[in-house]
Order: sequence, then C-alpha cells, then structure tokens
Amino acid sequence: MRSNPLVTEVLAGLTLQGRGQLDYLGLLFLQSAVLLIWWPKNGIAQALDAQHGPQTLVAVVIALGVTLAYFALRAGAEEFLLTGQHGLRDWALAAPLGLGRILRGYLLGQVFHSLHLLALSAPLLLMAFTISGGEWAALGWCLAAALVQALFYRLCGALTHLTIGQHRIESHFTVRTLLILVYALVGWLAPVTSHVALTSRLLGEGAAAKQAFAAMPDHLVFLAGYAGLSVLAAFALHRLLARERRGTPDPRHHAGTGEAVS
Amino acid sequence: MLALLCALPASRAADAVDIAAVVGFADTFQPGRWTPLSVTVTNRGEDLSGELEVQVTGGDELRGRSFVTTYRRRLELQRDSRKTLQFTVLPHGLSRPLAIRVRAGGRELALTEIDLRARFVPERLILALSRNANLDYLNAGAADGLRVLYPHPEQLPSHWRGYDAVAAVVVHGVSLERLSASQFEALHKWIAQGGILAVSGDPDYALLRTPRLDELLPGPPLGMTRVEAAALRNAFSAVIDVSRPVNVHRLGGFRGRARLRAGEVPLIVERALGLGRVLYLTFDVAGHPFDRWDGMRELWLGSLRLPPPVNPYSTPAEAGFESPLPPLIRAESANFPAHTTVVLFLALYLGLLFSGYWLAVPGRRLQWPVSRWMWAAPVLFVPAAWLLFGPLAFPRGATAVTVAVIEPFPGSVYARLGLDLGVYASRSGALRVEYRGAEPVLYPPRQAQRDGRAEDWVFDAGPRQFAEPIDRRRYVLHALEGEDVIAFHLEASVHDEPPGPRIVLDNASGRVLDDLWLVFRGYAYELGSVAAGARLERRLVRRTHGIEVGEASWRRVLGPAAQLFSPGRLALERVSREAGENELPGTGQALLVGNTASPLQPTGVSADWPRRERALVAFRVAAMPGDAASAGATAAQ
Repeated sequence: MRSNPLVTEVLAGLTLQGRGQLDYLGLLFLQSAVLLIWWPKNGIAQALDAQHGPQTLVAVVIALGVTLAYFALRAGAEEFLLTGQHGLRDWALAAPLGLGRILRGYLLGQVFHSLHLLALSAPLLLMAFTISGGEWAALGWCLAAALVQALFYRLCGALTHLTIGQHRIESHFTVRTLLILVYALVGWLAPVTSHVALTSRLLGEGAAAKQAFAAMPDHLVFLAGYAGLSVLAAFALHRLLARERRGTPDPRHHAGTGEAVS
Repeated sequence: MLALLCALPASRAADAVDIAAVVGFADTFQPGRWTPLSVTVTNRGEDLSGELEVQVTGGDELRGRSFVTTYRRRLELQRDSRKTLQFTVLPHGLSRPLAIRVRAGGRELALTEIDLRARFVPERLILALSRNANLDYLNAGAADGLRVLYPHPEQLPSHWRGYDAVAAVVVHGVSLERLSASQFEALHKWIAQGGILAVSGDPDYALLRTPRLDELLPGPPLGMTRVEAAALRNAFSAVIDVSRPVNVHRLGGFRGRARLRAGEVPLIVERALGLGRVLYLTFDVAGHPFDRWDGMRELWLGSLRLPPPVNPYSTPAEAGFESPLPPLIRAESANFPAHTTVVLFLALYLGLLFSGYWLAVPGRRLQWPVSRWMWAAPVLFVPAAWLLFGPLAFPRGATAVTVAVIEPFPGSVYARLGLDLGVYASRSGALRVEYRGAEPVLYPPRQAQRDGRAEDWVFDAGPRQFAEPIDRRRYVLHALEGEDVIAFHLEASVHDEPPGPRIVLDNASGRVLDDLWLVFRGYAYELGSVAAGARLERRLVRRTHGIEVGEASWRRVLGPAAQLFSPGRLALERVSREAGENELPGTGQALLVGNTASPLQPTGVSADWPRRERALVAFRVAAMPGDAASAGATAAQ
C-alpha cells in the first residue's frame, strides 16, 4: 500500500500546508456552526416535556456527509490538490505505472484523505454524540456511508475533470450542479440513496421505535449502492484514462517524464 | 411434507398446554377496580420453561388511544402437572377480553381470551368466608349496591389491592390459618388502609384463638357464655324471635370498644386497625335466632357502616394534577453542557487548527512539528471532548426518578405508599427498571389515561419485579403511578396545650426521618432529624418555636413560597385532594412532614442507574387535649 506513489503523495500532502486543508478547515468551521445551532437550548426537563431529544448528532453527521461529499467532488475535479500532489491525468500520462495501480492508489489516497478529514471532525462528532443518544453502531454505519459516498463523489469529480476539466468555469458549475442534483434531487426522489435520510433513520428519534435489525437493510443498501456506483465510476475513469493514454505516446517509453512525476 | 413434519412438534406442544382462569372472586369482579386473577396452567406435554402473560387493554378509545398493560410471570412446569399463579389486574372496561398466553422459546404455546362481559357485577362485594352462613339478605336493596360472594379462602388475593372492589370481609367458622402468608399479609394491609373485617362467633370458638385471628381481633374468646332471651331482646330488638338463651363468646379484656352489649356481655366489639376496622360479633350470625331474624340486614349495615360507594371512573378530585416528576428532574438532573463550554471548546480547537495551518508554511523551522499538529490536534481533542461532554458531565443511559409519599396509618405498623415512578434515557432502547423494597400496583398516570396518552407497559408480577415501557424512544419520560401498603411503623401523639403542642414520637420505621416539621393550628415547628428507633419527646412553645404559617400551612415547610411546584409539594397536594379535604392537616389534627429514604430501590439491571428520589412522610395525628398540670408548669417557667 505504501509502495503506491499516489498513496505516499497523499500521506505526505496531509502534513503540509495547502489549499485543500484550508478549505476543509473552512468546512470544519461550518460543521462547528451546525453543532452550535443544533446544540440544545433548553434543559433535560424541557426535552422530556417535548418528548424530543437533541438532534445535534443527526445535524452534525448530515453536515459531515455534505461537506465530505462537496470536498471530495472538488478534490476529484482538481479544484485544489494537496501540497506536492499531482493530478490524475498527470499520473496516467506521465508515470510508468499501470492504470489499475494508479486507480488503486487514487482510491486509497481518497480513503486516507477522507479518514483524516473525519479525524478532524471527530471531536465535534463526539460532542454531539454524548448528548444525542445515538448508538455507536449506528454512528459507525453513518460515517462509513459518508466515506463511501465521498469516494463516489471523488470519482464523479475525477470524471468531470477528465471530460471538461480544461474549461474551469464549466467544471466549476458542473461539480456544484452534480452535487445538488445527486445529493438533493435524487436523494429526495429515492431516499434510499440519501445520506440525509439514512442518518435521520439511523440516528434520529424514529430509529428508537424500530429494532436495530429493522434498519439493517437501509444502510446496507446505501453502502452497496454507492460502492456499486463507485465501481462503475472507477470503470468509466479507467476507460477515460486509457483513452487519454492511448492518445499520447506510452509513458513507459518516456522515462524522463515518469521520473519527474514519481 | 417436510414443513408439516417440522411444524408437528410445535403444534403438539401448543395442544398440550391448557389455560383456565378465574377473574375476581368466584369469577365475579367489578369493572374499574383492581381484582385478583387466578390462572391455572396444565401441561400435558414435555417439561415447560417459559412465561405466563396476561394482557389487559385499558383506556377509552373514544377519548384517545387505548393502552395495553402486560403482566408476566416466569413459568416452570414439568410434564403432566399444573400450576396456579395469581395476578392482580385492573380491568378498565368490558369491551376487550383479557388475553392470557403461555410462551416458551419465542413461541406462543397457548392463548385464552376471557370475556369480561359475562363476569362483572356493578355492586361492591362482601366476601363471606364461611362454610354455612347465608348472608344473601345483604344483596337486597339496590341502593346499597352490595353483592355477597362466598369464595374459598384459597381464592383470596395475595396482594392487598386485590380487595379494591370489596366493601367488607366476613369470617364465620373458618380459620385464617388456611391462608398463605402473602394472602394473610394482603388481608392485614387491606384492613390497615381502610378495609372492614367482621368476624362472627361460632360454636367452635377455638378457631378465633388461632394466631392470625388473634392478631386482628379486639380480643380472643375465653370461652362461651349464656345470654338470656330478655337481655338479647333488649340488645337487638323486641321483635327478635328468641325464646331460649343463646350462647355467645365470652371475652376478657379487649382492644377497642363494645358497640353492642347484652347486659355486661359484649355482643359486637369493634377495633380500629390503621384506617380500617375489625368487628367481632360474639354471637353466631348463622345460628338461632339470627339466621331467621329480619333485622339482620340492618344490624349488619349499621355495624359495618360502609363508606358511600365511589364510582371508580369519576374522580373529579384528581383532575388537573401535575406530576411531581418533572420538577424533580428539573431540580436535580444533570443538564446538557452549556453553550459557553461548547463555544470555548470549539474556539480552542479550531483556533489551534488554524494557527497550526498558518505556521506550517514550507521552509519554516517550525514546519515539521506544526504540520504534525494537524494530526495531533484531533487525537488530543477527542478524549478532551469525551471528558468535557461525556459521561462525567452528562451521563448517558437511563435515569430513574421516584417521588414517594408515605402516610403512616395511626395505630398500625403499616403505611400507605403513594408513588410516582419515572424512567427516561438519553439513548434509545429497552428500559427495564427492576426494583425492590415495595410491591406496588403500578399503572399509567391517571391524567395520561384521561388525556389518551397512556403508554403500554410490561410488568413482572412475580418475585423479580420490573416495569418496562414498550416505547423505546429516548428523551421520553415514561411515568407510572403506584400505590402500596408498606411496613412503616410510626407512633405519635400530639397534645394540645395552651403554650403550644407537646409531641411524643416513636420512630420504629427503621428509617431516619429528616427535616421533620410539625404543623398544628396554623403554626409550624421544626423538629429536625429523628434517627431510626429513636424516641422524640418535645414540649413546644408557640411563641418561641413556632413559625406562623397561616393559610400556607404545610406548604411553607416544604421550601420557600416561590417553590410552588416542588416535587414534595405537588405530591402532598395530591394526597390532600384525594382525601377529599380542603386543607391538611384538618381541624383538630396535626401533621408531621419530613423526608426519608425512598422505599422503592432500583435493583438488578437498573441498580447502577442514576437516581433522583424524594420520599416524603406525611403523618396525620389526631390532637389530644393537653395535660393541664404540665401546661401550667410550662407557663410558670
């Protein structure tokens, strides 16, 4: 795993100052605002009177899901890169590596990146968790769903970049439209694909009335669905990269460029 | 075919279990009243290890959602054997049958539904435990609303609440030694909380010298004595057809007073036992000449002096009660961490992250350690968040809340326990509160029943007592009300003397009484703590020891006037209104108010739950005239 240069590049980039980190710190600020807004304003007695507990955890996990997806989409579209990180096209065109290895490294790098972002959000999640009364298992499923979803959005971003990435304005709008379209519209029409709906189901008060096993299919369907979509997106990405590579001389015969990248 | 073969053992097991049930006394009960339910399970199959479950549907479906109360008991039954288990249930209405199930291994082995419509009577019940007495003449006259039943002693309830529909119990020629310990205790408690027991003389007077009747009766019979006909006519009525002397029980000394005598021979002796009474009719109510005397009905009614019937469905005094649980939660429960703490924590965390980012400019000397900060910060702040907002500051899980009011009965070792029990959790899931220390009957709050908000509950009716709401949502206060009669022996006398009251208090309750106050004639006197087993004797002077409380009466001693809705105050307010009195302690009475440990203690799975408890002792004592000599001495001092 560590021998994959794309992973090494991500791990190194995460310790250095860069645009991506600044952007995520901004998103962390947004999550903090959500935490503060949804922090219970009244006491326990009032919550018991109203028969509604704090929804802080649901709000923060939803915010985390959205911000991770947004961040992954933009990272995939290469609106920013980690310090020292190279773009996917550069790796495909210039590195003497197989496309499969590049894609594996790319996906693993995204997983590590998301895990780091999750670690940065962890104190906020924990604060919300202590008062909101969710279950560890349910929280784990929601976070896993956010990670898988972010992977899918990362690949979508990469596809956008490889198809229209040269046109910055179009790419900018496509990325955001894609997020709104998939996150809001598709999520509304097909709640099983919605991280918002999944989080509400697993961590919201409605989860109480259901037995834990009753919610099992929901998150498994979500994870399987996004994993499947990610595989499809990865195949599409592979094809695009292969086409890109076919359009240029074989990088393995141009060791100079490859060395520069690796 | 394979499926059929698999299903065969299950259906065999189901067929092998039979359920038979008797509701109330001799299959007769009064709706809206707690009643005993005897369930006999016969097992003709393999050894059975499961649960017996009784489901009672309550609530008014026109006014709101009905609610289901489930009583469970563990059932171990060997093959070819039977077992009878007793429950105390509250059939609210007649429209829904009682459902009785036997379950084992997650399967329902037997189900019986008891149609209540064929088993109810609207009248209050008189239970005659007798081999041959006929008291049917008490049934006549609809205005009194009485129905005499003749249950076997073995059918008597094992919980005092099972006597809810019973106006009086008559014992004639039957030994109470036949009752189980729990049945006798139930009978004793029922009398102490206001029940009436009448024991009739019988030629076999030795029955009345047995330990249990000896404990209850005003005095034991020493033998038989002869009462002349003329004396009987004087005592009862001139129209009684008596031509020869009658043998009655001969009493020595007795507790209580004789309500009827024939010359020097007591015929009816009455003893107060707590709030109830025990009548001892020294003559044989089923023997000559009383078996044919028309005046027996009036004699019974005059002697029993039954309180007027109360409709169990209309209790206007309860309307608008506020539960004492929310004020206790408000006062004592840990609250959510404050916004300020959250803001400070976030500011520190984000501030350190941002400063780490700005310092991590490539080329700086500090770059390497600072860049590591982006990893280290969350690692450090996660345990910090857990400490600041986690179990120390805000415990996760379930909390039990109890407000109890203990009202000792005068002249009794027992006390009435009024209970408000609540459980809530900050996490979703099963909330089973196991408890010990009392065996209360529990039910959804009456206000919630009226509003159609009553919840479904499961209770264990066996030795392993628990209550569990069906609703598993978090941040929902699952509340119950309950009542019991518990052992709590307090003896007190208050003497009304000119300078102030003189109080003598023996605390044999086994519990410490804290913050004890005496409220008497518009003044409150602080008595402090009284240790378990201690005796307190104080002569109080109104001018120096008393605080004038006036209209506020006992309310002043339960906290500042601003604390209108303190848990103790709300609980005692309800006691006052349930008693149908405008004001405690009432004319000529004194009230002792104090705190003590809650008799109901969570145990088992709920033993470690955080608890919010308040137990109030409210003891009403009839004031006695003071000792003039001692009063004079005090005044002289």
